[in-house]
Amino acid sequence: MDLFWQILVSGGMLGSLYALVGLGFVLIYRSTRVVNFSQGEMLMLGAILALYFYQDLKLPYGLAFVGSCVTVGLLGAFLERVAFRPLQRAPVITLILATVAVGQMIRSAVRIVRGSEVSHFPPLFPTTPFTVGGVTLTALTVGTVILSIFLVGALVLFIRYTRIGRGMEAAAQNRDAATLSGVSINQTFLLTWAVSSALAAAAGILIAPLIVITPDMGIIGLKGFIGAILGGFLTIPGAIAGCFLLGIIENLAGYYISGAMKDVVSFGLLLLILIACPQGLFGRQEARRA
Amino acid sequence: MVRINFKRVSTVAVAIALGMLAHGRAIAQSGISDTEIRIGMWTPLSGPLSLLGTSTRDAVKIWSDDINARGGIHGRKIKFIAYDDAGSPQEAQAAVRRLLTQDDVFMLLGGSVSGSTLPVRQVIDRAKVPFLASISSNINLMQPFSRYLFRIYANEISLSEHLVEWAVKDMKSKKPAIIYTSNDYGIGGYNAIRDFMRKSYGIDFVAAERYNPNDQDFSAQLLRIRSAGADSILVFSFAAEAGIIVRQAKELGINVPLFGGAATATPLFQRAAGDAARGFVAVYPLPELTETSTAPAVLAYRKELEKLYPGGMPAGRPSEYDFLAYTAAKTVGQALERAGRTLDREKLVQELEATRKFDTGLTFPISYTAESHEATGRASIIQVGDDLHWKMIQSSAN
Repeated sequence: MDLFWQILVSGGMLGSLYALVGLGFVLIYRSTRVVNFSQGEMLMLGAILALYFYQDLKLPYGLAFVGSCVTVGLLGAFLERVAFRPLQRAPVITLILATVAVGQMIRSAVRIVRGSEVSHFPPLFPTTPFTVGGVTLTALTVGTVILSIFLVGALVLFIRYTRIGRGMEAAAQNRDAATLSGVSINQTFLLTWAVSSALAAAAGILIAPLIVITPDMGIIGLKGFIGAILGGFLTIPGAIAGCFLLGIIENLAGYYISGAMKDVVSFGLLLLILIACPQGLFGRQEARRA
Repeated sequence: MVRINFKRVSTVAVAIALGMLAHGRAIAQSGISDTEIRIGMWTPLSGPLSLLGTSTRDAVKIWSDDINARGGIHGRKIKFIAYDDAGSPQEAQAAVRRLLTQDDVFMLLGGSVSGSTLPVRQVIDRAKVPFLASISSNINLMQPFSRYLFRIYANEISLSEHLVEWAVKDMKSKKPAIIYTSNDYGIGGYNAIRDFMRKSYGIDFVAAERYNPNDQDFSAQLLRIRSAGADSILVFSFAAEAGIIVRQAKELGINVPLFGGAATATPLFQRAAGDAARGFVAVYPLPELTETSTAPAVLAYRKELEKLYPGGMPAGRPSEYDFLAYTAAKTVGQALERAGRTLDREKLVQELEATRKFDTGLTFPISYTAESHEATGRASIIQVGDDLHWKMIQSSAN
């Protein structure tokens, strides 16, 4: 039984990281209807920049964290301005392709600048394991989960209670009505890209000590995307729940069935769920759009 | 509108095709002239595997520049042609085709990772162009036997056998477990190790856990291993993943010895694993550590490499692929010396097969016979020390 809880807890930890990445996808999608496939690269860039600030420039961790998020956020805004806004009237598929292209560019550029080097982000909290009720934990994993839950919570509050956040929400629900009530769509989109890029960077920095930093580390972003779809791509709480669920299902399948079958089982389940409820498990009917 | 005479077009097309065929045949005949020997290479010079390819290319360049500066071999200079395959099988095929038909190379050297070498193996064999491989360790590169294919270091099976011997005999592991990646490298390695362990020691893995390439969470697999009560864990994967696995194992309170295949025996491993790397043991294909060895041959090579990079040595260099490729090139050099001025590909193969205990000081001595084109079965065992650097702990005698 202890083991079951261990699996659940490990899965939940994984899920909290997925949630952090997944929300970035959801934010952009809700406002712009674009699935941003460069989200994973933003995550990678966040981790690499933070490592650079922290290890090479010897900045304090907090400063490295914020510095990296701000830089990546600015890059997100810049990309929105030069790459995505000019394509605003293009079919959505063109925009999605553009995000893939941007992602590839970032990945290749990082590889050229850094080589394909692998690095490890020094853990912020101790990694000595301890046991609580039969479940093995480390301060690092617990700390990471707390930080990511905190970040997700802060984001939800930001969207609900700030002017910018409400503008984003309004644009997500009804673009024309939002324009009519004085929300600048261009500005809102710019901010959405900036916020979700910064969020991806934060996710990357938090995940980095648990995995390794490589130009390809953004692949983990895909799991966040899938978790968000599982829960309901249009609702923020649904997407978060879906990400947690994905992490737990993966670990249960990996333990009770087999490690190699982990993806087969969890993606199979995803298909079944989507067939049964296309809006995702916790998704609502999409708001009517003008 | 233009009317196309299909009959004429097809005649022309056939003529062109025949012409190209004849041309292809005509040029793919010798690979040498009175003044040069063309040696070709396809290797990953870009992408995630570029460390392997740039090492391999630089090593052969250092060798050929040196030969040419001394007037060549029996009056012929080396013309070295290297193409980037980015580690992709498709690019590898295009590059090899180009080397064989357009560039008309005399022989191929170095090559690429197994995934981009196995697909071109047959083409090379059919063209009867000698190929000395210095990157791929996949057993299937040399099976079935081809007269034209040679390898410079112990294949993955020999390497794994050394590792098992060390784990079972020296570490006295009775309940080993393995975690391996679901690709040719992992599955092939797992099967070979399992069979060897059964046959030689009558031991089976208490847990054999597989994961998929790109997986970044291994807790389910590690928990299964923990539940099985393993007393050692073999991590048969690439360095970056192995780094995460080792860390996650420690985070789950698994404190048994961990050891890894040759792919983990690189400084990248510590960079990925951080402090959790300490004590990790791996099998290593060379007698000298590339980073720390002070053997004269190693120092001499490092000096030559520094000349190629006056702005500073790239990270991770010289790598073991530098040493393997340099030895491969020198092995070809001594065979060409013996072959003399009248040269063809068959003669090169004969002279390579006559190589006995050729020692560059960088790798284990190279020996070939007409029956075996595997240069050596020897390997070393290395361990990550407290200072997070690899240390040599055992070097095999045979």
